[in-house]
Parts: sequence; C-alpha cells; structure tokens
Amino acid sequence: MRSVYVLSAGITKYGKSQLTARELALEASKKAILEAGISPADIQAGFVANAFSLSEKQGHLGPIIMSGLGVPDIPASTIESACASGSAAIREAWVNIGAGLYDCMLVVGVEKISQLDTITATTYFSFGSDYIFEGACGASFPGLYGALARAYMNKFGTTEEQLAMVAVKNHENAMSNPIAHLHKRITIDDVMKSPVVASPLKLFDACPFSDGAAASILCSEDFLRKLKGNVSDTVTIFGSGRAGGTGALHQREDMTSINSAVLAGREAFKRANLSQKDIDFAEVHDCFTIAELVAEEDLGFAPKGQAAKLTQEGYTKIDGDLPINPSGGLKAKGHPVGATGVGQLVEVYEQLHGHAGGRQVENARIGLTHNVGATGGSCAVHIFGMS
Amino acid sequence: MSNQPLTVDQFYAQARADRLLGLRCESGHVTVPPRRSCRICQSLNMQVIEIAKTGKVVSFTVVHVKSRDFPLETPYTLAIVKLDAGGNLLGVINGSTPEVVSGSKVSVKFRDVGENGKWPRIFFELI
Repeated sequence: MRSVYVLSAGITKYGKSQLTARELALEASKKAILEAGISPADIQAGFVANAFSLSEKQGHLGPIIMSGLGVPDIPASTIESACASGSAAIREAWVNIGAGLYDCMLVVGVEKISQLDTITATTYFSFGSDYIFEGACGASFPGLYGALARAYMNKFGTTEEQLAMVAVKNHENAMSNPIAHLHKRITIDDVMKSPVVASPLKLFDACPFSDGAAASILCSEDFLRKLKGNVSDTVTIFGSGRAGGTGALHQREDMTSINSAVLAGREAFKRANLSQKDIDFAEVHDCFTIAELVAEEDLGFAPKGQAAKLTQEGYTKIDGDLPINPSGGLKAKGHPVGATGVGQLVEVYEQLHGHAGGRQVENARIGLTHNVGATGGSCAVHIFGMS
Repeated sequence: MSNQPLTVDQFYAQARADRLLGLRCESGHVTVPPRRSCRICQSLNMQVIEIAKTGKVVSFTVVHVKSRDFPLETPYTLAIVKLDAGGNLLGVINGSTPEVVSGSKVSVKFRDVGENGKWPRIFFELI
C-alpha cells in the first residue's frame, strides 16, 4: 500500500442547524478544499459518509455534493456503516489511494436530523440495530447500550458514578472546542440526577442527536510533492483497521466487549507497526459513557474491567498520560452520525498541527481514532502521525 | 419458494400460533431466531424444530424513551434472554416494573404492538 496523507480538514459547528445535509456537507468540504490549497477539480473521487439522509428524502448524496462543488463529473458514493460511516469512508479512501487508483480524494461525513422530533429520531436510530429482532421488539439505541452497561457493571463492579466521570471530563474538554454541540460544564451530581433514559444510563450518559459535517482531503505522496514540493509536516495515516461484529447485540456471548473494535485496533496497530504506549491521545466512540470504558479496554489501553480507573485517576484528562476525547467526544462535541468518524480525524489533524487551542494535548505526535457502528456491528480504527 | 429452511415470515406465522421455532443443525446446535447458517458451526444444513419457550434473563434495562414504531407505554423493561434450548432473544418483559434480576426465569410470549402489525413482537413473562 502506498502512503496516504491527510492534506486538510474542515468541520462545521455541531448542533441544531437550519442548513440541509447538502449545505452542511458543502460547508465542511469547502473548508477542507481551501485549507488544502487545491481546487475542486483536483479531486478525483469522493466518499460521502451518511446514515439517515433519507429522513430529508435525499438519497444519492454523492452527485448532489459534487454538483454543489461544481464538479459533477467526479464520482462519489455514500458509505453507510451506521455511526461508523465516517471512519468507513476514510478507510475506503485510504484503500483507493493506497492501492494506486486515485491520488486525491474528498471524504465528507454529514448528518442532518434536527428536523425530526425526538421520538422519530429515536426510531431512525433503532434502524442501526438488528431491526427485526431488536428494534422492532422495543430495543432503541439507548436500550441496547443500557443492557450492555448493566452486563458490564454486573461483571466488573463499575459504578454509575464512575460512568458519570466520563461525561464530566468530556464536557470539560468541549468547553475549549468552538464547534462542539454542548458548551456546558457538568458535575457527577448533575449526571446522577438526570432522568433515566434506559437504566442504568441517564440523559447525561448519552450523546446528543446532532447535525453537522466534517471533511478531509486525502492524497498520495506524488500529489503532495507536486503541491508542496515536500512531504514534511503533513499528517499521515500510519495504520488503518476495519472489522465487523455480530449485528445483533443480543446474539453475542460477551456483551462487555466490542469485538469489531478489538480486531480493528489490532489491524491498525499492526499496519502502523506501533503499540499502545506509542499513542499520545485518542478520540474514541463514546456514544454513551459506558462505551468510552469499553473502548479503552478493546483497544488495549486498560485491562478488561479496569477502564473506570483511567478516568477516576485522571489518566484520560487532556493533561493526563493518555488523553481520551480531548475534543469533548461524542458526548459533548456531538454525534452527527455520518460525520462523527471524519470529525475525529479533524480533531487529530488539529491536535497534530498544534491548533487545538485550550484543548491542545502537549507533544501530540501520534493520535488514534476509534469509531463504532451501532452496538459494534462494525468498527474502524486509524492511527495518524506527522510525516 | 425460498431455499431457506425457515424464513422470518414463517417464524412469526408460527409465533401467532404460540409456537417458538428454531433451527437444529446436524451437530445438534440450536439457532434462534432464524438465519441461514448455524450460529455455532455455520452449517447450512438445518432442520426446523419447535423449541421450549423458557429461558433466563442475561441482562435487562428499563427503557424510558419512546419510539414511533414501538408504541408501548414507557417505562418498560427490555431483556436479553438466553433460551434453555439455546440461542438468545430480545424483548420486553410483561408487567409494569416487574422484579427482574440477571438469572430471572421467563417464558416467551408473542404480542402485537401497534396497529396493522404484520408480525407480532417478542415478549417475555416472568415465571
């Protein structure tokens, strides 16, 4: 595989937007194109990451976005992998460039669901489960993670207060993230007193429904040399991993680990020729507080059942040994489903370039992203560093 | 005519007659709910059998969020159940705030939720 570089990143504010999905996608794409110093015509192909555009009655987003950029001849397909759509799209771009087919690609993730009321949005999100035997039987997305959380807490003794610490940390981090959906400091008490969504998970254990888009221009070494004359000081994809998992949570023997994340992590580390100790910070998929703990264990950052200690002892704070979700994570930065995985790349890009302002991780040289689809039916992990 | 031994449609048609169907491969593994290959050994050679409707709760959650396609009054208790015959099912446990712990014994009860339901939904009753 050829080396693949992250030439640029662009992101919109996450939250409740009056813009349509196409407009959000174009805003992020234009930012990425400008930042890269290229013109749309330099892009040879694109991948769009999106899960629920049909809620706006708009499928076939690729041509809509490329037409919006003024380059309708350029092909773009939508990659859908539930909440892992963004990282799945990055993975496919990495494959296409790495294999030598294209030299310059656009990856843009987008989601627009604020036009739906909460009940309808909850319904759409349940489509990411095994719908026939989970969603249709009463399993909404919080319900599935609630059952996972209970199984985990029964097995390892982790408490609701320890889960709350994850939310508190991520809200704190988001205070320094201008594009975050939520800018609000919370306490453990706030989390504990928030209404139950699906026990033991409460409102403040759960990420918000967000609109938003994130984009990136990925390119080959040839393209980079032609554009900049050298390959230094550019974010590089050191490793990529992608794996599947049992589509239905309730079919798994062990609900307390997301096997697709374990496998994807292993592949990414192997390709990068790195191990856990080399990672300076990570953006992981904290759709619910429990998911951040499970992620830390699946990626090998903590022994099974012990991840709560990492938060409790401050390891995962921005100034800790292993900052997790310096952006605020899905919990506070937000979760525009199709955009999230690409948004994680944007955070890594800003951290590695030293542009993360108040949430800057010191000496950030190698960053990892971990993005999961629904309850773990799919996952992609990427490891990035400076060339 | 499908080459599947048991389709979802057939599974739910029998559910209306209060029968729980599963699939048994030549090695004796039981797969529920229906799928094309054995959940244990991936065998494609499976026979349809009727299985006992009893099982034990593996995990559960009390759900407070409403969804359009599942118009049941909240809160309700959602459970993941390991069937005595083998395989897991997910569904709501009947009753408001039933006393449930991991290991609680339940039996499968199919019920309709919402209108014009083509298929019933999987529910459980504490026993």
